[in-house]
Amino acid sequence: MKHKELDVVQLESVWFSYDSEPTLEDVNLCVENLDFLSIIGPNGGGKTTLLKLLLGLIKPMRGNIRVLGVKPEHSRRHVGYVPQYTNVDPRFPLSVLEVTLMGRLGRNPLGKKYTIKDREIATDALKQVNLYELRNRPIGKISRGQLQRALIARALTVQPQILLLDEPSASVDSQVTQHLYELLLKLNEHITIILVSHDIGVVSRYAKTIACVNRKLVSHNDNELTQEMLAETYQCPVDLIAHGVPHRVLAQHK
Amino acid sequence: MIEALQFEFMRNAVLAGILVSIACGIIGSYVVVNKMVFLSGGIAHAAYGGIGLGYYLGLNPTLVAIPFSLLSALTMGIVYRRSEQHEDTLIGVLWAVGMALGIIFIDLTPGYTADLMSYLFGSILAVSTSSIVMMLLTDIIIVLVVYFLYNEFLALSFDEEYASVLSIPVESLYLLQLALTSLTVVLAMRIVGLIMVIALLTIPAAISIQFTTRLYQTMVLSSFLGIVFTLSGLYLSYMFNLSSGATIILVASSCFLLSMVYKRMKKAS
Repeated sequence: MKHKELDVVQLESVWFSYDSEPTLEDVNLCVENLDFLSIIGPNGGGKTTLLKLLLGLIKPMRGNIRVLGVKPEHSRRHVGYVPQYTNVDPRFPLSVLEVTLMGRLGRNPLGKKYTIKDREIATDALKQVNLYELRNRPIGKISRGQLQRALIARALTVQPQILLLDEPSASVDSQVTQHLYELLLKLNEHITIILVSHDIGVVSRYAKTIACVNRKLVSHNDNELTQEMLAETYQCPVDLIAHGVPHRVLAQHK
Repeated sequence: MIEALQFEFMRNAVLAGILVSIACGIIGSYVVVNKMVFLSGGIAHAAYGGIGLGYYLGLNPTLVAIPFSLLSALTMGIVYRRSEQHEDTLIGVLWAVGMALGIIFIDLTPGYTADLMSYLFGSILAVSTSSIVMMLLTDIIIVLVVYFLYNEFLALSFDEEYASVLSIPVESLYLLQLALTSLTVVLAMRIVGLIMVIALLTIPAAISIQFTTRLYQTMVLSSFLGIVFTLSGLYLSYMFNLSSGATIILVASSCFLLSMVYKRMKKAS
């Protein structure tokens, strides 16, 4: 894997562990500008750890990480992060607009109120995800899919070059998932997208590049998912003939 | 009740009820949304160590309890965040250590410690004018800090991981919130006692959160409800010659129960 000027993310032999067992082992990864990378893998395989490393929330034990050419903690003001919506409490007394505006915090000195520009950016982000009409709704009174989109709007208010998403299609139905990925495809026209998911079927339909991670990371820099990659990642043969998936997951085997 | 107001202690009691309810309404809203009820209980009980130390040194116990509980709150906060597991166990231990220290200090204090019970169970009728001034100052500090840091606190409470991604100084803000909590706890102790402080902090907020959709609304409604509970509890305790702290808590918890029943009935209909 050669590093190119255009690469927005570079990981060089990155190791990470929470205890004696490594969570990530010798991970190498390059993400090109405007890529749509899906990182798949089993639960506990290190997907979320990888995202946290890219956000600079944790530091690697060994190896090098560059995001937009600098260390993650310096680049994260240009990185939009969308956590799993299950991380947030829908009973929290808060409106959709208030959630969206939060993305503008951390730029101004502490205690500075939102400016008119902040509000314009938030309005714009809400329009992009098609939630502007619901901006004054409390977050407890919108659907899961809408909450997910509100979190995307919040990430967009940092005007990111990269969007990181953690399990965006977890426990929403397939209709909502489809709308979500269509939105992501649209955003991908000018933002690099990196998402982690365990939903192999949907991911392979939309991603430009797929990587598999289960402690080690395997990627061929294209969106083909091979039986070998899956076998290595899941440590057992995986049935790729998904029912009702109109798109071919596996390349034709001769 | 109106004629009772001609006594200074009664006027002070009413003022104290109002001032403490404002602090509890604002800080209690954070305690409830942040799920820090147990931690706040720990802070309240550990403050007893400060009361004991105050007696031992022959100083005003409340004045000693303030720095003491600030220190114990920050210790608990750091333990709570840094320890990788069993944080509730550690809070429970610090909770007991604070109380134990208080008891030992009182053992070591020569003479008779007459109004010790008032710190445990509250004595709104014994609030001095200097305490009122202290409550007013605390209210001003809380309102100012929360006004300026409202958005940052909101982000911290709602989604702490995201707040860190935004490079907001999460830990400092969290400790500041705890410091404000410990100030509130020490003052509310004068009203209902440290054993029941947690109820005054959480019940008004727990009721309000069911009927509001913005955190600042929760704060305003909680403060208002707190005032209603303390004043009506005070009135009932005066009429029936009951302990004021316990009466206030029973009024508040009855209303909490009613609010949940109301909410459930509304949902069902």
